[in-house]
Amino acid sequence: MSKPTYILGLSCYYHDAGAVLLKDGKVVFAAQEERYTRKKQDDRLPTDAIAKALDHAQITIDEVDAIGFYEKPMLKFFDRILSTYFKTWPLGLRQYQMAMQEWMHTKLWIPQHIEKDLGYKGKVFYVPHHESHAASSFYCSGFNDSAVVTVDGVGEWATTTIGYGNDKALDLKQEIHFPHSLGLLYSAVTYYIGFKVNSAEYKVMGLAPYGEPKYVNQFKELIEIKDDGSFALNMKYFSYEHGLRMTGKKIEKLFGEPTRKPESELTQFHKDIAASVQKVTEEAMLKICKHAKEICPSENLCLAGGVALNCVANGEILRSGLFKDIFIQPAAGDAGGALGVALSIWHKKFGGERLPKMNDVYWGTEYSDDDVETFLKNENLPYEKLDESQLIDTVSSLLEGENVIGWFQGRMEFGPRALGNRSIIADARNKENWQKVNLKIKFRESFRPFAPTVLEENVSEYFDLDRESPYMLLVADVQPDKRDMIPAVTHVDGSARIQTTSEKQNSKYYNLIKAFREKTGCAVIINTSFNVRGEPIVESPKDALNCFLNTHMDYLVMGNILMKKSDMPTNRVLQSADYLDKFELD
Amino acid sequence: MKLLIILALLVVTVLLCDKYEERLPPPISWIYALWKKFSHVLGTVMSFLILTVLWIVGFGIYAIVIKIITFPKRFKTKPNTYWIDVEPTTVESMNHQF
Repeated sequence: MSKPTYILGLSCYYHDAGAVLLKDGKVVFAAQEERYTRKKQDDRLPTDAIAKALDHAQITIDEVDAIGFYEKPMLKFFDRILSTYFKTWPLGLRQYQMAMQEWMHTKLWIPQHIEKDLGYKGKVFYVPHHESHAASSFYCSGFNDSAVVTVDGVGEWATTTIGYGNDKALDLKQEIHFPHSLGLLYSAVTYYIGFKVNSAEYKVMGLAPYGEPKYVNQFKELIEIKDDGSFALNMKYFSYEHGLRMTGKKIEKLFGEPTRKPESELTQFHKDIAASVQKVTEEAMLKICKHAKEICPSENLCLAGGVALNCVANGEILRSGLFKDIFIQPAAGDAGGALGVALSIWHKKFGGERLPKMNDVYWGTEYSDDDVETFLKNENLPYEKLDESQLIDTVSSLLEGENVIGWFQGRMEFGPRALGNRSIIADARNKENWQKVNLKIKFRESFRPFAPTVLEENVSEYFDLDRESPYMLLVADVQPDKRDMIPAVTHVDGSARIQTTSEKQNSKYYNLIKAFREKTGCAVIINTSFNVRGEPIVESPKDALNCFLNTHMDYLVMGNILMKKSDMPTNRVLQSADYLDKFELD
Repeated sequence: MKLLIILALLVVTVLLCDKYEERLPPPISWIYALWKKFSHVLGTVMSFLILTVLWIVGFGIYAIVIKIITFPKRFKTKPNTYWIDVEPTTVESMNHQF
């Protein structure tokens, strides 16, 4: 038997570092570094994730045939960054001072760091940032041919691209260059309404349904969108080219309100701004996809890049009927670039075969019941071990009502969403659970909505959606007759960010919801990520236990092991303040 | 000449301290720790100064030339589209960081 080909994809040194290991083109391991270092969106070289990947595959770094880096650092620095400094000079000294030190010390020495920190002696390959995004979507889609759209903040020069994939070939056709960026427009508004840039953009999306898009006309001053979806920002309103802030005084003058201070009161004005930027984003995305259809005729569309996580816009694209089928890479952000570069190398450099559509993203670390038991015995904490059918029966009963349960199972998800293996779950029929989970468990803003998980076969019964949405990337309306039934996952505008699950994707999680449906008649539960605000999603039993003990969660299930909060020693529970201090708010 | 010898000795001492840092006995380890703190501050100040000079002189001259050359572009009418055609990439280009 011939030796398998191992390819390691890396993304790091900007935000959201990740590592992906392919074996003969198939993902055998993928994880974000933040899960191990416990620092949200950690951007360091993902040495911990790489170590776990090699350990999982039971190989050494010497057996890796190729390492891929998700962008071209020299092109980014010598072309885009230096050109921008020449353009904005004499402004930009502070940004330049900070950036130059980072580039000189770290970012210009990628192969040297890889060799020094990983002990890797082989070849390192580089794929442009947006080509990595495009590859992460197209090669995982299972489509033979597809138009491909990638939209994010910025890569080397590109901020938005349109490409076409056919079998193993994938070529970008057109792009829009920095500083004109839909992702950076969204980030600038995120900054303007007091949330953390490159982290809390999803909050703006969640806030939008509370407002009215009253400021769309002012946004037309900020961004010109052509009929073909191309766009240009009016840079006099933005300072990210030269400053350390995204926006300045001019945008405050345009909207008539100062930049909101983090953690201060959210007013109707902020909600209206969120609604307006969301509407403009949807308009631009629809036009881009329409143009993609014109220049790359295909019935299929693949989406990737941070803006592809805007599931409200994704829902609009789906409902527009422009494409028969859509695939959105669930790890659409920069961590997914690690997947894209690895797949590019496999298909283009090694001429590897296309693989079927990805079935799930459970590609991270896993802990057995024995691992969990050993850990809990060391911690000297009480627990109950059940067999799987008992566990499903017990937990589905516990879910009824107000219990909130930490659900830690199998392999960790890759990408920003918890999809039933590192999740906090609760009864979607109980409206009180919305506030309970937000304020007492996640310690996050009260306006934030929760996503439902629904059995795939029941999706159309509860939501205006006719297909699977296994990665929580599509928003659709809750059926009017079901809104009163599942108020905890129905957003103020009647929509929901849906995750469907099937036996093939996640049998244990599927069986749990099925058992819940048999008991209650409801095939929907709340699913939110297993973490508190500012904390990376839990990776290990230790992380899960810490989160369980320091929040108002009622039960913790790890594998087939059940823990009840009321059985925990009083000196171990609810030290929330100390726990929360460890994490920087987003 | 004497100054060069002193400097060379200092450099060699620092290099040796760096190599055998774990094994340095007090008070040499304390002095070396102090030196490292001082050198870090010195490095920060020096890089700030060097980068600032480079910004003003190196970047400045080049930026002014570029601004003069590109000045007429400011009066160009808006294009019909902001899409830019992408040059096809080759497999060979994967070998390079640019």
